[in-house]
Amino acid sequence: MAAADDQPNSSFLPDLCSTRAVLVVVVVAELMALVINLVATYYSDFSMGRLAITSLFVQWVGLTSAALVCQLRPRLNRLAPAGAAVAVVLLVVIDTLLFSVVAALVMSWVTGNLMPGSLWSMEILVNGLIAAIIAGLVMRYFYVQEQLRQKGQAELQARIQALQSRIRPHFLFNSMNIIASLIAVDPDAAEKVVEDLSVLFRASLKNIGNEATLDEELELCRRYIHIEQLRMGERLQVEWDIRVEAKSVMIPLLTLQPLLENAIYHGIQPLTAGGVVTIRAFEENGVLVLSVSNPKPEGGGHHQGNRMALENIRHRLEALYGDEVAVESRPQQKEYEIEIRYPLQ
Amino acid sequence: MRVLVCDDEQLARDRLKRLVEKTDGVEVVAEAANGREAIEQAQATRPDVILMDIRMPEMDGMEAAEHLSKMDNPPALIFCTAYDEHALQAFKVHAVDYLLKPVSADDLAVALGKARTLNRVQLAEIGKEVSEEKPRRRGHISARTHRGLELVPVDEVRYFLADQKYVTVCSGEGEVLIDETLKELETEFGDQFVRIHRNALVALKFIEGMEMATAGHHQVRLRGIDERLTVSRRHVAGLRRVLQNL
Repeated sequence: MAAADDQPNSSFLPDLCSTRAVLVVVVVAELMALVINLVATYYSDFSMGRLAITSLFVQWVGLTSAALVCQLRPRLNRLAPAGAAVAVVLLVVIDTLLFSVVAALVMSWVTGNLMPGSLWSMEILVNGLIAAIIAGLVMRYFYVQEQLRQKGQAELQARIQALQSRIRPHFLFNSMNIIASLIAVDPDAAEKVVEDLSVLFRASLKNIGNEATLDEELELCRRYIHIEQLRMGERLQVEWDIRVEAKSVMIPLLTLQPLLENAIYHGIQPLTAGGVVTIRAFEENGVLVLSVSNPKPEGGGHHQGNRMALENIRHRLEALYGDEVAVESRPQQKEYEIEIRYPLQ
Repeated sequence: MRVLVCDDEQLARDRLKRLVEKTDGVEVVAEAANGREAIEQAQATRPDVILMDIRMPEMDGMEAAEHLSKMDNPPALIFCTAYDEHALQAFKVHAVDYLLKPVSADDLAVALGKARTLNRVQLAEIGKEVSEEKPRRRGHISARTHRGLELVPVDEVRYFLADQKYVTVCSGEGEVLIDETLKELETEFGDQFVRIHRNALVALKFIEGMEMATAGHHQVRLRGIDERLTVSRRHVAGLRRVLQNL
């Protein structure tokens, strides 16, 4: 339902129908029964029978409450967090009161002495109160956990965003300078640069987490290289070694381009004679291997910022392709290589 | 007015040249693709103004400015950069002006006008601010010789040897004298050079080994030169430790 998607911030109730959640409910309920019985030993001797009865009751209330919340979850999640929490607490209290009454009836039936007065005894109210407190605590726990999750997500998104808009301002202004230089002497070339620049910036403004085909990404890289080659002339040589069907391989948009930008910024620009940047793509046992390598200038130009860019790329890839993602930098004697691996879908 | 245009990008140089030559009474006398070339060209052609990019290979604009300030009658500097907020903030004062790329014709005319009205004394003052403040490590050592300003890449320096007043810089190419102190040099290049004597700093990467001289003192052998340098007794232990960690 669309309405549920519109309010993602109130979806803090977890799915209690899953096997794992049921197991957690059972364990927590049992621990609670244990606590109640341990506390009771202050006032009377420990009794296995009482533990059994309490366990039965707490499990019964716990599991039915979980089932109810599970059924009503889509509706509850449409409420604001506070509303949903209050609703769940009420639900659990009503559930508890109901089963307290049922339990009292069953007990009196088993023991055979019907005591009409005991239907609304003090015990039932106490049960309700305990249920309210526990349900309240659990809601608070869910709420805090959800907040944490959202915070983590927000941080991740911010980092992805930062990475994507990371086409350097330096590059923008240098490109503008090229356009200004070319307009008078070669208007056609100037026009082409404007086109390339537009495509690159449009891509960098696209939604985060966007997947594209490798072919599209390579096209962005070619446009980027085209601009840089106008700027640096002969100094920048690029070798493409693409041995995969680029149209059928997916990649998060702007994964390779920032690597190329780093390679040129740190590897080619500091060299008077320039050098070769090599881009490789091939498949190895169902894993896609992408690599960008550049000459390593003396004194090594890659530093902190680069490591962060690699971390960012790793996070983006992991978000899409799971844990089998590897992003490695390999400084060698004369070369600096960055390799990305992730499973082909 | 004579102008030198220095930028590592051909297209950027071409455009600056076009803009400069549109201004009356101004001509471009030379071009350079990095700081080192700029210094060579500046000595050969003696321009009044240098339009200098900041980020360039081999030697960047900031370092070139520092060396240029040692020339007799140094040219006025106008920095041009695409986007270097920090550099601009820090070095604003050291140049006549700074321009942002793409440079506009009007801004350029104003900057050139400023350079024209400044006299030599004022220019020298601006230059001095550069040389007094050494923000980071240089890639070259500059020395004034009878041939003009000479540049020695720090990577090629074998050792610095202090004399009474000057420091001798010995590289594979020969020797030059500079008027800096060993202490300053040690602070600036401490990770590449090691002190072996009160009067000597030696390049770590050229050290071949330490040996006992017949006279009973220690000395170091350096790759590429026959001369042996004396290690003072005080520095023997320290040097041995450094060499072991290499």
